[in-house]
Amino acid sequence: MIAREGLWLNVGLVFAGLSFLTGLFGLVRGRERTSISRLLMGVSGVALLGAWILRWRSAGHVPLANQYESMVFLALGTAWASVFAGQGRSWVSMVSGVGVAVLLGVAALLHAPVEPLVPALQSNWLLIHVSITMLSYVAFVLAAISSAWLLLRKGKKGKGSPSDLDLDGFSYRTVGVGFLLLALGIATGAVWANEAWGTWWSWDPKETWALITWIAYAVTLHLRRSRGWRMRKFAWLCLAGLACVAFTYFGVNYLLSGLHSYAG
Amino acid sequence: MLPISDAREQLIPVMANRIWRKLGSPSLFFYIAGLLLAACVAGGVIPQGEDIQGMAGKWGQMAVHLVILTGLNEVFSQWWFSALLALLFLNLLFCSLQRWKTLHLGIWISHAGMLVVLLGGLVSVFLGERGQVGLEKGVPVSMAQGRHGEIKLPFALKLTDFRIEYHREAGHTLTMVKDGAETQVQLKQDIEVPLAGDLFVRLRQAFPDLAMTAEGPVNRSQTPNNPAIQVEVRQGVKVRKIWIFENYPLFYQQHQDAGMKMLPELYYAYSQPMIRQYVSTVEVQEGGKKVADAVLQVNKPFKWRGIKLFQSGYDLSHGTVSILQASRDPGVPLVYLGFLILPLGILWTLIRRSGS
Repeated sequence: MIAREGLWLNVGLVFAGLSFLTGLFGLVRGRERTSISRLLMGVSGVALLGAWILRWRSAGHVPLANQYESMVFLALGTAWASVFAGQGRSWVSMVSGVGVAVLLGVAALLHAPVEPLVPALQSNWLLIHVSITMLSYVAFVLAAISSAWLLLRKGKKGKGSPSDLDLDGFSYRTVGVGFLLLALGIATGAVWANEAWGTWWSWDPKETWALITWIAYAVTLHLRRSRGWRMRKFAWLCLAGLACVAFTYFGVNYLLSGLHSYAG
Repeated sequence: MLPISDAREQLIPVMANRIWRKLGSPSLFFYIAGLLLAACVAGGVIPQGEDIQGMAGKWGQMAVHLVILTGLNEVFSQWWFSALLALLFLNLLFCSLQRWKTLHLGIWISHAGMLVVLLGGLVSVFLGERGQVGLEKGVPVSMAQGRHGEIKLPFALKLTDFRIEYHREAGHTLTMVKDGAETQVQLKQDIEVPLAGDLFVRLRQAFPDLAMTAEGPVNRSQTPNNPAIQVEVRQGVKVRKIWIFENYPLFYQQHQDAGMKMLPELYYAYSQPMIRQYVSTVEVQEGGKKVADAVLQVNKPFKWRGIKLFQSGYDLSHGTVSILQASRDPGVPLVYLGFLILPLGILWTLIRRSGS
């Protein structure tokens, strides 16, 4: 079962890479949309979903109990977000291809064997809370990649490649979606905490950093709306937001201890 | 020139109007958010509610003094943190009231959701009660230990059973190395197993974190800091007891009785148990009489007379003690309502924005 899971993950990685290459080829040829790259990303998404379901079957519980499993879910979410939200845009396939490859690479470094669930995680809220939170991270990662692109190319635009306005708009929309999903992730986490520990908020480091991330994105959206921080300024804010996400996701697990310490 | 009384009359509405405008301004939101972020970062990095004197070796005495002086090890219970949240509440309220005609409906709903969550939090802090109940087998308890003293429960709880269920129990593996060949056996409490030839071994005691004290061997914690076992090794009719440490292999060879035949090399490996569930069975008593039975597990609380009870911990070092968390929080319905309204508002904003 584990060997087959690895095979499906590799298939997902290869097809995400192919999606990136066809997206790049489309951009070089001046094509704004490349349906083949969308199709390839769809195949990658199916393969990653297959790997995830195989893990679910062998573990006997939803595979979102440790960092490796949540990382694979992040890659899976990125692939599907690209298929549905990217609408075949060549540059979105490129951005998502990079995202899926990086996430699977990091997941490989964090590989963990299937383990039974600790008592605190034996709840239906595991699927709801963790999957929603992970999907918010997918949105923030995609926003950060398109923001980084906007910042790195310094206004130079090749034929067929997205305009600064496209990239800025994409970042804005994905941050909005991520902001909603993170609010839901925090809310479902609070409800679960109240069921498991008898308190909906305990200022545990994970909770605190999730709140920091949410406030950071609230400030980002308010600065854009009330102060007109768009384009490069907004892109910098998206990167700062991703730093908060990274600390919440990795930093808290490895550097701080608390009620979420089992998640490492 | 205006008389002083007239000037004062004009000044007061001007000042009030200015405060009203300032309290609902986005600028104030950015200041509050900046301060909240700084406070949360401090509270998210510095261990909260713990005795941080022990950190002096790591951080330096000066830093520890500074943290205690500024109260950064108790950020979330500081008056200024509560004041910041109160200011955020006012800012959201005034912003929504001032712009009720121009503000996008979705944003207005999101603000309302946040206000309800903050209000619920306020109710939780001021009207909620929480405490720990330590239950010893067979002893009825009607008091919970809260942060600010004891809390009287309107009933008594008596622990009838506490058990730990395992996915996998702790493992004790003994490896013997003789003439370059390895023999491995899994040890079980008080069961003799053959090791090699006429050599047999029986597990007597096992400790994940052994400490030798004047009263004898004790276990310091469930963390495997110093795993050790005491085994009986039998060869024919000769039996001897030895201690084998995972971290100090061959220690037993240095402490064998003089004149006894040397034992082969023995290596011990401890594998941690995997706990599936903590289960407490309790009897609820009112007026000294049993009124209900309840089974509590992690993620499966029990509610009685408005008080929710949660399986929180255990202590087996001095008899069987199950630790429950007792909680009564009238702020929860408000908080949940806020959690419902807030995402709906953000969703509405997203839908309208993508539509436009």
